[in-house]
Amino acid sequence: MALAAAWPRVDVDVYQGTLEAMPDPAMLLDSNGQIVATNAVAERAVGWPRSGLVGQRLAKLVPEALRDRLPLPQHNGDGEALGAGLTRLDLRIQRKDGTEFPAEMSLGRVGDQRPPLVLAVIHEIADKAQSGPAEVQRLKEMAEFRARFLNMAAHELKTPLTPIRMQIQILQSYLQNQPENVTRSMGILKRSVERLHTLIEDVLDAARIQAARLRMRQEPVSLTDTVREAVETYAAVAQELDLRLTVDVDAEVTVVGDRGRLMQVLNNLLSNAIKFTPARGEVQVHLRRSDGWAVLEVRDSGRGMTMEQVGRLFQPFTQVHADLEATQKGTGLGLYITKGIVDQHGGTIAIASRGEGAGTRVAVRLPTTTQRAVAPEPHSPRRRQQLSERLREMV
Amino acid sequence: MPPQDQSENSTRLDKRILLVDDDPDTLTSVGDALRVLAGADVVTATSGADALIKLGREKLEVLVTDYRMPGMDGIELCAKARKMIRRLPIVMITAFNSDDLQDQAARAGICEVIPKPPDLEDLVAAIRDCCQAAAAGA
Repeated sequence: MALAAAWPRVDVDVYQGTLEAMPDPAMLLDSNGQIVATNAVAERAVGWPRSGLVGQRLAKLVPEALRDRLPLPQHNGDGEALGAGLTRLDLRIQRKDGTEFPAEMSLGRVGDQRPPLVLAVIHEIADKAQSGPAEVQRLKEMAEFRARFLNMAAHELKTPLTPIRMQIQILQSYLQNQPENVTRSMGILKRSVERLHTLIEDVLDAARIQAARLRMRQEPVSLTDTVREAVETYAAVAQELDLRLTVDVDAEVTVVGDRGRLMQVLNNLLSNAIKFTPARGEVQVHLRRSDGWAVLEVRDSGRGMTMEQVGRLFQPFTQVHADLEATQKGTGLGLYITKGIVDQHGGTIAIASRGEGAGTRVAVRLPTTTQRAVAPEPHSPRRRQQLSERLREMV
Repeated sequence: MPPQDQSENSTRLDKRILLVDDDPDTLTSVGDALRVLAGADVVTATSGADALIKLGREKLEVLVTDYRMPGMDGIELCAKARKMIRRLPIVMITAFNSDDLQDQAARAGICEVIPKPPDLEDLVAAIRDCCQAAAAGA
């Protein structure tokens, strides 16, 4: 602990017991991202003795190519990300011997020192490649079963939706100018079938992500245009709900990927921000280019989350706000799917909130490309109107 | 949703359509929707073989087919239909909307693939676009 002593006024010893009690590798950082204390699990996980960690920057444990994913002050000059709330990101950790493992890292402030102390916990994500041949065979069989099941489910679940949807539309045309109770029943039928449809699509997407079968197009996509279009789609709804929706984008930010899926990410983040921000609140969308990365941020002044809630966000079927009205409830799969799509694009997603009532900030980072984006096919005005109607029903 | 949202004008289709699906409820419902709401003239078939017979016998302007059917699937049907009528506009409806299938469909000359369950307005717009594209290429 000799090096830790070089940082006066920061009394880390009181946290040592807590660190050692943690089952995962954990480190205490100062506001510069420098490690001031760690635990024995971390020593074993990364292969460095304590003396090789304390006094070093956290970035030492992250492969060079991924270092700028760390939301640490020395990388983005923004102490706020670390100063409050909880941030979760996924990256790879580099051991002393140069080998790497995939991990999820949580960063959160502890205590009330100034400058702040930050706790970093590394959760290793199991590496399937290390399993024995029997296990590999079993996993392969399971993957094949899942793929067959997915194909079957996609077809069988969607087939009855077609006649239901069509008959509702036909009935609606027969039932014009009917008493209010008939119109109301039709409205409920229609909304419910659309919810069922969304649910089926979400469950199938989540299952595809789990089975690593989410297929993506690989073409240059203008994120600038995609963000603008998504914000335009939500503009009317935001106005109706008395929310200020602002957008600030760098020109020509291009990534390689699937435009439809990236739009799904934006829809998810924007609808969440709008759903959880009360009237007269604000939702800001920023898109910047930064050292080979596209950084998309969606910030809202909404109801925010506790640390415990942030920690559960990426688990499937998680809805951190249990008090929503039944019609507002989603599937609890939105962020799980969003993370799956971002992962597949080689990006990261981090969510931070300064607590209940203090808003939420989501940052998505995607590698950029210098290739030119193919001209997007914008939604037709009719399609945009449909989306807008669906949003209105949802929020 | 108020009833005046039904914008009848945008969904008018003055075409004779061959609709193919092995699921009878889907066939009836999509057929009725195209007839009642879009004013189209719809002939139905429950299999690829049935569709080819009707295509040979009757004067039909558009083919709208399901992808997965027992026996002949939508792609195979469309390849055979194209041999009979070279510029036949074809729309395929499918629950498996993968890139792979989109590529196969494009190679087979299918002009649009619509995901299941279809939205009637999307379906009508796709049929109209395909007819226009076929007419322009003629």
